[in-house]
Amino acid sequence: MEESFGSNNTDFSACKQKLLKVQETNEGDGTMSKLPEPLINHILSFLPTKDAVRTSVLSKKWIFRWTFITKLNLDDTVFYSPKRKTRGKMNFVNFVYRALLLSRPSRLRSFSLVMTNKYDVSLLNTWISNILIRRVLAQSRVAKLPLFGMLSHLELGLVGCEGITNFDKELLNSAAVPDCLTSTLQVNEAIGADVALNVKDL
Amino acid sequence: MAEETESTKTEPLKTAEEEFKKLEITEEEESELKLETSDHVTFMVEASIAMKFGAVQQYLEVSPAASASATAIPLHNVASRELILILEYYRMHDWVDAGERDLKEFDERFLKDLNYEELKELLLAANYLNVEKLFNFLTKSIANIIRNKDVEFVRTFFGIDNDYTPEEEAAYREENAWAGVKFV
Repeated sequence: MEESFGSNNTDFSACKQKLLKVQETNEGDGTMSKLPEPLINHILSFLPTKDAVRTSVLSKKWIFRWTFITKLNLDDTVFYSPKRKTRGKMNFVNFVYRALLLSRPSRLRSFSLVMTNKYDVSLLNTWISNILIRRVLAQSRVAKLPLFGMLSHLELGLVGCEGITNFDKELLNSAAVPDCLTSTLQVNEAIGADVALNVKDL
Repeated sequence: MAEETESTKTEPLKTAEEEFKKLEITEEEESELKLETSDHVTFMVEASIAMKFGAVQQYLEVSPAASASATAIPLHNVASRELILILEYYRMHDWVDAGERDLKEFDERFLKDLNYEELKELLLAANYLNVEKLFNFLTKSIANIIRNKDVEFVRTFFGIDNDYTPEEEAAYREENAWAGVKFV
């Protein structure tokens, strides 16, 4: 009974301190606990996609580990710094291509694309089509694998503007996306009327 | 004077602790489950909390008799040290009077008290126990820790052996510069 801590034990915190101390002295052999792969993948999914991609440099085993992430957050604001204004756009475009080409469709549960700068409309067309096609593919798998049911939470967080919204809806129709996906589609209209104008002009 | 400010400072905490105890006392009438950790420490845990653990649920599904009997439910991959932390977390988050701010403060303090090794051990335990809320909290917290950190830090954090030669690593960084991902 001495070693029993329960709800009836009022000196809970003291027990905690004692136990933590005992175990601390048992350490010191320098062994670091290593996390299994699924846990690491889960952690990487909480990183901004750019940071997740960065982990490919950690070791050879890690080169493609980031591709298992479940959330794709493509945000161009992290690519623009006052210092590197000229290359920011190119870097973001290349980054999006890499992320789209390498991330695994079957694992993606959520996706967001945030753009605060101007991009060629055909570029957007390609990206969004790619995502929609992948989603349809992923969706068609849902029927066979109930495990991927969470795919219905997909979010298309396009920043701003009617131009993209309309364009997007047309695309949705032509791509024959199941209703359950279109209903979860969210368009964030917080920023960027000027982006809309640019898209329309193009 | 100094003493006075000190006492007012700690007062909310004290009442929180009292409430905590009160809660524990009232819950004594509630059914409890006996859990045994990997280092053979037995815990009497409120059923309402223990049933939040996926591993406990699963165990009871297979052998329902364990809920009433005196046999302890074994938690093979959770040490007492982790279970104490997990219970602390769930007791706080289960506490009906805890407001959003209290929980936020509690979470911050909870995290601050853990070193990186403890954090990883706790994540492993949370994963084994299948406790969703804590698991998500820990994975998110770890993501925040490694975010914006340099490559060496992340290697140490995850215990990764760098199997690149310096030349290979430099070449890899060079080759990948096109994607605009800067490896610090």
